[in-house]
Amino acid sequence: MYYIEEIRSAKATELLKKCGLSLPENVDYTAGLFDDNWQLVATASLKGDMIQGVAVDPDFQGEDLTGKLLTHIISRAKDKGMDSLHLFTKPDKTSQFEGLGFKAVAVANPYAALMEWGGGIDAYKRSLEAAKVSAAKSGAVVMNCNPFTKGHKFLVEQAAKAVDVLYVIVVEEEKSLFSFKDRFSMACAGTSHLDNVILVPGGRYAVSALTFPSYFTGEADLAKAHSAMDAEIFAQQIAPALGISVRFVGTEPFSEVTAVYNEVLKERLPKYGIEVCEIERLTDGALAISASRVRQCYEAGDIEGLAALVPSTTLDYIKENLWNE
Amino acid sequence: MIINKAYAGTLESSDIFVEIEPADEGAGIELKLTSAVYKQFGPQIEEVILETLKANGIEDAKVTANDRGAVDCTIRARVEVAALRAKGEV
Repeated sequence: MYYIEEIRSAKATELLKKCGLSLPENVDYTAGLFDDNWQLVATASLKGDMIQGVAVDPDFQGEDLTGKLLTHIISRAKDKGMDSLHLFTKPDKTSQFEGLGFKAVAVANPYAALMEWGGGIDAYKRSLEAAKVSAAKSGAVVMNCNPFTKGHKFLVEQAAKAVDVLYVIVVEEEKSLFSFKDRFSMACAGTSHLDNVILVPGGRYAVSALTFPSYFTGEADLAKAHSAMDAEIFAQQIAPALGISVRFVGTEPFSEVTAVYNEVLKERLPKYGIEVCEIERLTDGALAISASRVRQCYEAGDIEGLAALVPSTTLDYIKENLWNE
Repeated sequence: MIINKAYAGTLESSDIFVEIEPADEGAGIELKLTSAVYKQFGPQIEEVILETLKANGIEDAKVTANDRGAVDCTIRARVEVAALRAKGEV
């Protein structure tokens, strides 16, 4: 007989180590599976809707313990109201999880595969298809818009000129100074003068925290691996749903991570017939306009500084909705 | 009839994990079946699931089933429990 119960995550350290994995951090829940001698033989953790740190003692493999363990984890997540669960695995292990009912959302060789339980990606693609407008040439930009700056406006205007329909995909995840609702509203206001621009939320899938732990690849490659995953989700799921054939990005003078991201897009998207078009950033004197400079002005309450960097639509939104509170 | 989200079964070998979600009245049963033996037994498994749902008075629902080689009586048992839970009867 086997028994499953909640354990402190640190208790799984040794078992994970035996399987060549490190302990996942800040998890919400860790399950331990014990044998008759109360020896821990398998473990899995839940962090939000991510399943992490799945390990089965090599001496106990072939006993279908993963099935037991994941039933427990999925039941718990369902009881907490979650419908879609995600996990990362190595690209060569996808079939093991497919056998348990997971689907591969995207595979980013050689780093990782994103697997999903439930219909999250299908529901997201249906929402994209509902927003889709048929056109000869459709393009996309993905932006956080934290907040929407003159730089964003310039990029969207340039991109919109080059295609029949431009989708502006706004990152949905709440990890920014401005909430998704505020960012989306500012992007709407700042692009309303362009007839061929359609705004869509990024869901869980456009530059999201569906990022994997460093034990998948090592710290050095992490930025590259995350970018690869993001590029593959875009190419394999988002672009086909919207019929996108060109992806626009701004040139990146400041952030090394974003520069790597652009490189990875250029390397991977053309394989799916998607062109990557880099647009020179709008500069304000010597400095490119960056949202981080804008945030400094915003937090300092510097209206003049802000006015130089953001379009009037963003300034009005901030005055009316955010500084009023 | 009011249906809640409900599930029954496990992902272990020889079992089936069945989930039931509410759907609009008149929508019928939308069944998604995943099975390692789909090629050999897919239609048969689907028939058993649909029959059991009908016998339990479930007419409109989204049903997801992950099968790992369950025999018919196991399928019936799992679907029935999921149906009873969905109706709030257990």
